[in-house]
Amino acid sequence: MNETSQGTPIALGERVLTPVSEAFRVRLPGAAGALVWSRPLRVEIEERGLRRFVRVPDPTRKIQLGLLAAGLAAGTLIVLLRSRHSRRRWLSGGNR
Amino acid sequence: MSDEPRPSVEHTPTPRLAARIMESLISAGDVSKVYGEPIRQGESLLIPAAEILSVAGFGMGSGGGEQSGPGGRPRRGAGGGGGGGGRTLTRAVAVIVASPGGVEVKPIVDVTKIALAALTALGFVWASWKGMSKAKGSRVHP
Repeated sequence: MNETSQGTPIALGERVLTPVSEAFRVRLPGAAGALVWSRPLRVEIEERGLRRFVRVPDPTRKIQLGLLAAGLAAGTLIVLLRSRHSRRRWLSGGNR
Repeated sequence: MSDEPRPSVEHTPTPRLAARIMESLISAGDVSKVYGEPIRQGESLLIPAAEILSVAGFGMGSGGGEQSGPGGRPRRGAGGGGGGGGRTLTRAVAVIVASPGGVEVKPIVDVTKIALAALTALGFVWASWKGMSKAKGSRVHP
């Protein structure tokens, strides 16, 4: 289950920072196992009555997923193109 | 059946221990674990932020049996056991720098993880290419 939680506010001068994290929890029935994945989400900043937030980016995760998706797409494309090419050769009798 | 009590799963400390470990694992995803203790550096404040992945699994079982022994006396036996394992992985994601000038989030790029992902992707492409070449070579035409 996905849930966000706020940390303890940190005061710095007129500014108050509140870290916010996101957690994904999966619990197997009967306490047989569990998976917990937590990551920083954003930092909420309160200053002179104004409230704004700064997102915490994760470039490593983005690049990782991009590379894996590109590899998967390229591999699938190779399989598709080469199987189509060999089928064409097969039908035209090019391999005899 | 005999009236003697048999060891059951409820009477062993393993489920309680497993539940306790599970609770501590669930709390590993707490916001206080994701954000580290703020570090003061002059007028600035540094807050480290990390990603946490915790996985754990347990298994247990018990059983008993009864059979008639020599002289018609019943022979009983019971046993039980359990096991488990788990792992927590952490990765630094960013450092939040709060200074009088403003709040800035400095992301941390993990080059090793990116290189491993690139190698995995290249390996998949290479395996697709080689697999297709092998399939083409072994094909028997009429």
